[in-house]
Amino acid sequence: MAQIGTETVEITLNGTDVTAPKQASLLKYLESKDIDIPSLCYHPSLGAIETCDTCIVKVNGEFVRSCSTELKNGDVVETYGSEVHEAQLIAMDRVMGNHELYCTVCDFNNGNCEIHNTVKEMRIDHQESPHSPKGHEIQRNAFYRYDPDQCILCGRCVEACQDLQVNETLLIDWTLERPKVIWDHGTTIDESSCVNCGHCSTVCPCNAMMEVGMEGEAGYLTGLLKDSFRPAVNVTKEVETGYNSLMVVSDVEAEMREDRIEKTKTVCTYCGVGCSFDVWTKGREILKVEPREEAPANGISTCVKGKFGWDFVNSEERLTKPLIRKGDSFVESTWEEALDLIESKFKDKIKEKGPDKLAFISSSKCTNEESYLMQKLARSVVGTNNIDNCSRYCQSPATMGLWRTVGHGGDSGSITDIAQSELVISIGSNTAESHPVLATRVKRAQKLHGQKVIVSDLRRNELAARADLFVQPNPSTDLIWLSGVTKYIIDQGWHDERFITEHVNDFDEYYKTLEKYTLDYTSEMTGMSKEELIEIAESIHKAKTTCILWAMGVTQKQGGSDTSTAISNLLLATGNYMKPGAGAYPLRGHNNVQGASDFGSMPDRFPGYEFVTDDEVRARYEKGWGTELPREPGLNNHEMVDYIHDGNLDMLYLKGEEMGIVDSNINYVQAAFEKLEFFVVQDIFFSKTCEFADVVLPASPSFEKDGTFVNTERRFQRLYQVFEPLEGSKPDWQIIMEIANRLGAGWDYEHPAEIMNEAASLAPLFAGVSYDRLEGYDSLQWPVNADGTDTPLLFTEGFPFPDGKARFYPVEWTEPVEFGEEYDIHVNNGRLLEHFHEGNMTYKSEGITMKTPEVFLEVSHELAEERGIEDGSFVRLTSPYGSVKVKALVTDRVYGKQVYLPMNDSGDGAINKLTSSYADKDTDTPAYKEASAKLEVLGEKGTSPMPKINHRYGNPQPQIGVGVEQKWARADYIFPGDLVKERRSKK
Amino acid sequence: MAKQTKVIHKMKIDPEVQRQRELKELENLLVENRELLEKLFDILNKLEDHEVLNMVKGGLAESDDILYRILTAVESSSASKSIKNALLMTQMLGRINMSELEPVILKLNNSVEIASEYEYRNRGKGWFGLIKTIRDPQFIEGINVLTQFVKGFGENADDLKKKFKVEDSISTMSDKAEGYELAKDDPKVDNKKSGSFKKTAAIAAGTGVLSVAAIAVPALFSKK
Repeated sequence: MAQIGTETVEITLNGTDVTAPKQASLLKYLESKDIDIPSLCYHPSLGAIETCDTCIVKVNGEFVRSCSTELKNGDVVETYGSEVHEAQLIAMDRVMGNHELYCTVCDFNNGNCEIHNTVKEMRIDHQESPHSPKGHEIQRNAFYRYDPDQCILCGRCVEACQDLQVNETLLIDWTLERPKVIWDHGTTIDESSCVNCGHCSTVCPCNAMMEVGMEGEAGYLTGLLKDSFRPAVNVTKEVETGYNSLMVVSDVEAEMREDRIEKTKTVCTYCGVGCSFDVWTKGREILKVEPREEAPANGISTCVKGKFGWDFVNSEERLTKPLIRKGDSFVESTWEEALDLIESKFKDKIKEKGPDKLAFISSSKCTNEESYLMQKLARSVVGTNNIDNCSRYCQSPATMGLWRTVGHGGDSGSITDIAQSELVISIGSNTAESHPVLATRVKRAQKLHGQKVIVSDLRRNELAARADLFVQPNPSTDLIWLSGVTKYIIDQGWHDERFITEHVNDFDEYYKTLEKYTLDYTSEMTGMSKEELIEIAESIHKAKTTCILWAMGVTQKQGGSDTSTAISNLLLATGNYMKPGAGAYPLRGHNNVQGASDFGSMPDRFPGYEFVTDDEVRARYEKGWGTELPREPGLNNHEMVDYIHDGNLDMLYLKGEEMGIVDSNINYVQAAFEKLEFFVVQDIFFSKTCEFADVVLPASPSFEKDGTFVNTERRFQRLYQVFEPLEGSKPDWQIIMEIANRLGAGWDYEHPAEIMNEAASLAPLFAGVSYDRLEGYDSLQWPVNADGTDTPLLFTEGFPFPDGKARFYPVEWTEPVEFGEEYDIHVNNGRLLEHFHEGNMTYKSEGITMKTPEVFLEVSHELAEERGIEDGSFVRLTSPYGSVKVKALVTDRVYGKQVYLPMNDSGDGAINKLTSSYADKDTDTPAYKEASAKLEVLGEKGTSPMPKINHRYGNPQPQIGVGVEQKWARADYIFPGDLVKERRSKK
Repeated sequence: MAKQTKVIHKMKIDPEVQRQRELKELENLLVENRELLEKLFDILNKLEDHEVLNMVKGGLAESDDILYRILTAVESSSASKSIKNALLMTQMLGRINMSELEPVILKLNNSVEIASEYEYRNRGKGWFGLIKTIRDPQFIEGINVLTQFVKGFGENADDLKKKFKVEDSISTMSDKAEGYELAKDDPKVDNKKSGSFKKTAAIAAGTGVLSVAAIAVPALFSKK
């Protein structure tokens, strides 16, 4: 879409000479000058679509659509005049012939209906062409519906689906007598490739494409009128004397809705992208999620979970009373009783055996403020550094790789940098399912702007299928090909010598370690062809900017930190740091993986990544908190499990983590839980981990509290309380404070803003962070200076090392875990688009569960043929650590003896029954992705685990845009400008 | 040492204790709002006396059916036309300058009175009477007033709309429609106006007819 640039042109606007930006679309420029031009198909996030013709103006005497017109020097622009007005009224007549104005009884009448508002602004009182039904059925599924009789065929939904989400499901069938929106060339929503991301309903200017949560709920009358709806509309049309008076009535009704519909900004908790949006609620009922253009990470984008996956908040399975173990069962208790017990147990243990017999695990799904308080409780109140969070399970190796080389453990830039990069390389990341909205930016850039995409993965995931180059190296050999490609680049003289000289140390030493990574060796070890390796090297060489994205396929290995380091080394060698559109992008998996560590839930670091062993830093915190602090690093959560088994750790307080399912080798972890002397678990549901607890505390999810998260871009965003905590539950920060005060802390925080102020005063990395600066959709990317200036591009002047230079860090390949010959199946694992982890939130959504009711094992066609497996066959996988039983799904997404087991099960299909306790040698992150098993077929026949209404069976129809040329070519279409000219010529 | 368990014993709440607690909460609410409740009950008693509550109860219980019946009846009868006319009349009333109409209305009333008197008491004056009347200064003045009234009717409707600051209603323009009047290229006006001359004239005529009606109807009623 056209953006306002810096170049200017001289034009005449309505008789006045003015200077205007050259790159701007005329419509955008006119809007900036407060000249109102109707525009119904134009959406700022989608650009010109050119279907509605309402934005017609005259340029140099000719009628043009202002949305798609770029200005040139000397242009004479007329936005007034009867001819222009007449052309706009012709366009509006066509729009209104397609859309029935029954605003007062319309659920979309909330002040934001663009048709309503345009009719009002143009003061249209009557329409010449009456609205008539199109004769097409309403389409609906569990999430949204499409009413063709209300559709103005603006094509926004199609543009969003084709070119923003790039799911390529929606089209307009322009060949029909009365065109309509269709799914996959004319099937139902559920049987199409639609992923229910919600873009279409978000961008629809009216009630044609609307969330079903709004139906019959938003308006005062919309739920009342059932059989009487049609007569009411007809009578209103009969008696109306003009739309203006009707608009007054519907505007009053819309104003009244403000009293009962709350619109609250929150931040999504389903991945690290950090989508923010308004949640529309009526009481505790969620009407819809409405993303907004100003949302810094996602704009108007969402995925199915963020848009429709919030039913769990009102689930009857929510915990509402503390539980206390009595023997082999729990009894519901009061908060007083539960806190009394925790107080006595903790106090006794600290007194008897010292604070290091206790450990604390914070959550990457909770807020920064809650992570801050958890580590403060551990360090300042209890007196131990045994505090960690679940980024240990995923992202610590990526952070380690970046600390070693560039000093900051965060993404180099923003999602917009990824979008503008010339080359994106994705390694071990199922991005389109794990970070769906971020993936849309890559897909869009590739489709519309020629971005090159290279994917390295074991599995043909969606981005792999779309990639310009897809490589499938042998498992756990990424470090080898990364090093081989780096060596080849340097050997060709394609490295950025100037950048290295000015900004990076230790080049020679590093280059020597690359010696063995010849093309022959690399090809032999990775199974990649030399041509593939050379193509990757050439692509990096030719691209002015390269971003490398990586995730668990890299980090959850024994050499996870080293491979992350190799990625950063490659970027340093090619000068792909310190400039927009380039850099390292470890894609954070949970909403606050970044923030949980940022705010000190780590055994060796305070908030802002300062070491607990640093006397000066510790003294600052001791002064700030008024207590003496432990100086030795504590246990990470991997070590905690071993310590429990060894009898060296007695008590654990864990919040918001399903450690009993998501840690690797869960049989071992669960056995450790059983050995704990006292175990406190804080969650919103009675999770598998809760089953081992002594006290379970009912917490509140993100919708029920204020706070901040830090997303994968290092971006602070505020979430506001959507509704009160469910009766009996409490926000985590309040629970932590109550426990701390039982232990004598004397904390008196009344709002999370006070906690943030305290954290910002102590951690220099966040010095300028405050709730005032994060008002609404405002955000800050760390480091944040005291004056509030932030750092969207992480490295501009240099790197955070004493001499300001980055460092090449030589690394060696680590051979993956050897399981033995009998374990011949390599078990890859990860996420699915529609479910979040073990699924205790997303399975609460009836719509999501209907489409994806259970976990399944993806099996290749080759393996299926070899073992006689079909869709629905029941199979058992057995590793040395346990076994799972699950239904199979035969697919070409995996090959050979590779299988893929999504992590969305907490029962017989739980992946971590197979994984080992081997871990990244530098960070103890479990090597989840180094898992092998043997496979037995338990039953050859069965129903497929994936219903036919799953989007994976769909048949996408890629095209660019909405195909407006087909509309223009129709015999019944005349450009309104031409029609006006013709009429005038007859005068 | 805790074995894995899913067994949860729900907290037993004594129903009697729960009831007592709720009764206490209700009692407090009543005491706090005593004055308001007294007024509310007073109103409710009056509504009950007039059967209003039962009517509302019945209406709400069958609201959709009732609404459906009413709306379909309105839709299929001339009632919708009546409602529309009533709404149009309301709009027209808004355009009449009642204060300036006052002397005209007085004169009209006077004329009606004289005409009535003639009709019932002094009939049969014939040509002689007519000639005599023509010479009457009041008749001559009356004709002068009527002449001015008719002159007013002859004025250009567009000029009148400007004079009285009346805005045209704006309609969309269909592909098939022909003969739209070209408006003047005055941005301030053009942005608001459109529509055909015929339509404008019809509105003006309608306004005139309704104005006369507005004068005559109250006059007739006042006579009775």
